[in-house]
Amino acid sequence: MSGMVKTVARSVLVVIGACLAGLTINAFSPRGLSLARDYSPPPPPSPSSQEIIPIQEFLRVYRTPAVVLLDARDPALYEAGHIPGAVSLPLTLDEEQFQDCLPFLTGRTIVTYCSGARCTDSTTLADRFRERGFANVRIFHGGWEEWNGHGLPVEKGPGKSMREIL
Amino acid sequence: MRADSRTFLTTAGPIVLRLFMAAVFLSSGIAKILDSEAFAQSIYLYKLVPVPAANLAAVTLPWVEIFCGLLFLTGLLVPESALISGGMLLFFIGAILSSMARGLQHECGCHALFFEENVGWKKIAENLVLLETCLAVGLAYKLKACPTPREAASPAVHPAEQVLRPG
Repeated sequence: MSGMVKTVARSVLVVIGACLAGLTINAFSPRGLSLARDYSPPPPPSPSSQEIIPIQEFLRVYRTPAVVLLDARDPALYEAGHIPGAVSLPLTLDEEQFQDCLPFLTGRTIVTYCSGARCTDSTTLADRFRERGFANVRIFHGGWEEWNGHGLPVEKGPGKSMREIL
Repeated sequence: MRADSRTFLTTAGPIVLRLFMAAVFLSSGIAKILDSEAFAQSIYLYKLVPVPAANLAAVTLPWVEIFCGLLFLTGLLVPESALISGGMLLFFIGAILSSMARGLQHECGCHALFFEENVGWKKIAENLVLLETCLAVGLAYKLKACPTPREAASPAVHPAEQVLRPG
């Protein structure tokens, strides 16, 4: 028992020593961090107001047949929880897989979303469709965070493929 | 199995794993120190602590990793090093799970050993493998299955032999 206590005590001393070393070197290093400064990168450019679909409008239309809701997040996050009816279309999809989806989306309104207002995947995915001539592409900018924040229903699991849904 | 091969497994195995952990923690700590601003930004993405606390972690955490890496490398205070590393890995797993539970998708800010750097189950699996390795190395050295550098220099009876002897 005393051996274990000694091990823990020595571990604490190692951690304290490492922290003191880090703080000392940081204080004298020209590349040292200021503890109080916020180093956050500048926020990503927001999509224009025409591109964004507000949540009130989104709630009215997201389950209508004319609208296809695309989840741009990682498939693991999609499986953990997504907006009901959304189809997973992560940015990691290669060009061939992406091209395979396009026939299902022609003539529909595409709405993309990702984790929240700070993520850019929904905007990137929307741009990818616009580059291929899709005009009716909107972004649910608040994304998963806003959806969850309103306590709206969620769906879990792998969901259905685009072929099954559309 | 002959005693020779058992001796080899109980001594060489933990030594190889210890050197592997040394490489993991040293490379991870050095990478973070070389770009501490990016590491601080990675910590912000978890939205767990305010900016000053995140900056403090960005300054100190890589040095804890480097200290652990050096201890693993030299074979000194290995159980202590394994305990600290295991604690850090448990904390990282908790932080990743917390992000996943909140639907956050971001880089984990950790060392990409086997998988990509985003938070997710693969990253948790990777950290669990490292945690298990830490435990194995820590226990092996705690139970004296492996010689410390001092013991290796003048072993009266090889420590591995002590473990293998009945009674």
